[in-house]
Amino acid sequence: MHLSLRTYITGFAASILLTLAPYMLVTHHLASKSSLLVGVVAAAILQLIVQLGFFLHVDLKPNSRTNLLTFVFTGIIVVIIVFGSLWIMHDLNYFMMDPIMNISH
Amino acid sequence: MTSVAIHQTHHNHEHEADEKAAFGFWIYILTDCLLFATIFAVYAVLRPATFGGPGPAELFSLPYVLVETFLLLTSSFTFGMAMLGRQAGKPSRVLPWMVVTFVLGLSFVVLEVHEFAHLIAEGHGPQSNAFLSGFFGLVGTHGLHVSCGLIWMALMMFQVSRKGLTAPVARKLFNLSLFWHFLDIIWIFVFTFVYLMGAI
Repeated sequence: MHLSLRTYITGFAASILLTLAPYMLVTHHLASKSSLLVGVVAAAILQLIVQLGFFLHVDLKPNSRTNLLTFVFTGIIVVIIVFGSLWIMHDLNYFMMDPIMNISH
Repeated sequence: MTSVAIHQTHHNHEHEADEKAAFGFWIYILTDCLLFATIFAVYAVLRPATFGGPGPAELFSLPYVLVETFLLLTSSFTFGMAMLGRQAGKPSRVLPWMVVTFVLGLSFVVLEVHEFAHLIAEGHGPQSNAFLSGFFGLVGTHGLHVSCGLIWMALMMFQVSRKGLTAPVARKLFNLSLFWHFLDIIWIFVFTFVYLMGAI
């Protein structure tokens, strides 16, 4: 693996851009609430990819394939944990607070 | 076998051991990812439970957090510069960048502690409501990781200056770089999901 100054500078510039852009969007309220949410999350995911590629040097070359595979596996678990928790807790709140259900029992 | 060939195989073995160690550390980082995923989930679930108190939009100052973010981002870059020095095999190009990284990391921790102290002084400590418990738990865990990273970095600076870039030192330095960049990525998600989305 050969590191170059160029890679780090590109990564750094992209990170700054991907931090400032959502920050500006939010502080200046440049879009509707739902599109702001989408934009902010998209910037974070792009930032994740940029930093993985330029700083952590995870790429598609065969010798870092295992790193990438284990990372993708972890990513799937992370998504299940986060969205699963939100989904379950949201449903739980919903059923605990529904008055009609309380009456019918 | 000529001495060159022997040297070559020895070198390959060492290289293989290096790669194994790096992969092992990569697995640790991924498990740490899972730890953060669970506390992110906890924060997301508890986020509306403010018990009538103020939410993230009222409590947090975005410009302040932007400064914290830039400190950590820049420290990730300067650590990259130290890694370039490591690649060139020159301790004199590693140490100054590590010092810069250390100072940036320390400033980040100081700012975070100041933010926490301010919140607690205003009566918004972790015991006030579930949302704040989740917030202090998540951001505090990240801050604790950064602090551990700083201790590790101080030790590595000592080792680089005393022993130079020997194979074990270079290997540990590489693992520390993975850890440091990883913490930067976690912070990006804290910045996005706690602070930016809290302000929307």
